[in-house]
Amino acid sequence: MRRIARYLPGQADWESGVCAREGRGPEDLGILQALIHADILRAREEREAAARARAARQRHANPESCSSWNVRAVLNA
Amino acid sequence: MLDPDAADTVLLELLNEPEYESVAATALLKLAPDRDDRAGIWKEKKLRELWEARVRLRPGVSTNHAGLVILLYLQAESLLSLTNAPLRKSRTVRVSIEGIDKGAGRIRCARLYGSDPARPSNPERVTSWWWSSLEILETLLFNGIVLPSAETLKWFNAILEKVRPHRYDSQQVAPLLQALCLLPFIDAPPVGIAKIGEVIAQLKFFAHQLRGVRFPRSGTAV
Repeated sequence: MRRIARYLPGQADWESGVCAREGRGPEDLGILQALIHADILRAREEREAAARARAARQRHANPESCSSWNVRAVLNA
Repeated sequence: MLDPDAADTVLLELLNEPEYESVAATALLKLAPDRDDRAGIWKEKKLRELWEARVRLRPGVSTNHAGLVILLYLQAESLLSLTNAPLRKSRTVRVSIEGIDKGAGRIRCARLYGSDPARPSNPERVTSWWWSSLEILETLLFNGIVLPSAETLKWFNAILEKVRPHRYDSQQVAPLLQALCLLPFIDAPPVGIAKIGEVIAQLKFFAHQLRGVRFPRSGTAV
């Protein structure tokens, strides 16, 4: 489980889906929580970068949130 | 399978994160007891059941049921606190459980503290929460929780001020009408009922707009 999560970097929806389907017990829920916190940090950094780009009148891709996927994975737990 | 009993704990933790609070609140709502039967937008509601739920909330309730109700209550408190914040500076809400008084049949918990203006703002936050907040508050009522009047009126006023410039737009007015139905069930019903009269007089609703609005009358459900 931990190995699968490591090989899917940056794909929070995949990661959380794998956690929900392949997780085996309460200890794997901790991995899902770690993924969620990593996603929160990523989204926050992306949003700050977007704000800086807007201030500098530069183009920047909209920050993407994986919150719905991750919460769905928690519910499927 | 992951640990199915720990889902609510994870979701409660996520409520403190602005990026997740809306999704986590909706998920908590799905875990609420009897949600599909009674509460919900556009559903025919039997208000008598709401009063019965208040009587039923006694020390004998199961742990699961009480736990979910507490989670929803915490969420509502954090939700109501959002309306205190200026739209462009959302607050970080942290919730702590002070204690649960099951003996009195009332749940007294949650204290809000802490704010972090450095967090990214979301100007549309209150607007995007209209329907979710309505559904959460309704679910709370049907689970026997009495809403605090001051906070509920703050939340209602936030919706009212949003709707006031668009009172001829039925899509904008609809959540306000649904919110009106909650006001008689706050902890000070005369205040809520007076507010209803004030709003109807101010906005001069047409009769057909009030068709779906139901109020309790002389202690019985309509």
